[in-house]
Amino acid sequence: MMNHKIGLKADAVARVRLFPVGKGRGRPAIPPIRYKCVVFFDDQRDQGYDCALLLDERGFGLEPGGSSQEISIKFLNADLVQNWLRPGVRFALWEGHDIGEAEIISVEPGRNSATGKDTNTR
Amino acid sequence: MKLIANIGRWALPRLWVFLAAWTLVSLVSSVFSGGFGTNYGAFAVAAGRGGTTRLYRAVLGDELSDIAERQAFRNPSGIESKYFSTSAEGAASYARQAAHAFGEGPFTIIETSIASNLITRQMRVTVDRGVSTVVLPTRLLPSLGARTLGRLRG
Repeated sequence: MMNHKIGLKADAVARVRLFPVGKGRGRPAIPPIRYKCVVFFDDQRDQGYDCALLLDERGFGLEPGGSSQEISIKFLNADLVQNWLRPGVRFALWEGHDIGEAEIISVEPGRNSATGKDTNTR
Repeated sequence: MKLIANIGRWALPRLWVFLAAWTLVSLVSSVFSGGFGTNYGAFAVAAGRGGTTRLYRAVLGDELSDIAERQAFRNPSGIESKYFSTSAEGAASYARQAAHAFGEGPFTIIETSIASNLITRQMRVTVDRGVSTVVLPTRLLPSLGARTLGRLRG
């Protein structure tokens, strides 16, 4: 079966870092793919939001405990996170537990336009 | 003998009252502690404890092929968990939103089931438009079967 995929224009760029082994319970490095996960804003962990970190566009992954990286982010439903889409807002990356943290550094309004390889990692 | 009979007449009604009250307290405390426990085996399945929970996932072609080949889920290297919806409608909702936002598709809805007691509270989350979701760690995936429910337009 052929997947119909188009590339993405990001909703925002965020500075992202994965927690080192221990704090985030440890995990392997995330390869340079379109990495999908749930994020939480504020301290609550009940209402999350799906997003894709467009690591494939940058060609590098994320190492646990490594330095923070500026990553383009596309939300599954940007309308739902509109209130948080502004520079300085922080959020947590979650995979059943917090695996990292991020801070929005710029917002890029707009919709689908670029191209990229996709793996449904969600 | 008369003394024993008198004691019996006094104690028996009270014993029945005590047993009835004890049974009532046990049932109420079981319900408020999260359902009927294993002491009430017949009720355990009805309450979902000790039974199985059905989960649903919208998958793309590559993952569908992998599932068809292995009859199980797995994750690519570097991915530690997999997300499932608790309803087929939830999985379809995700697929529709992903088609719109990420330009992905076509999706196929896969059904699986897992022992309910393996799903902890920390694995449950509500995402986006109220989609009730369970996130399972990679280590639990090999034991899950998979059944194709249908393909969505991509």
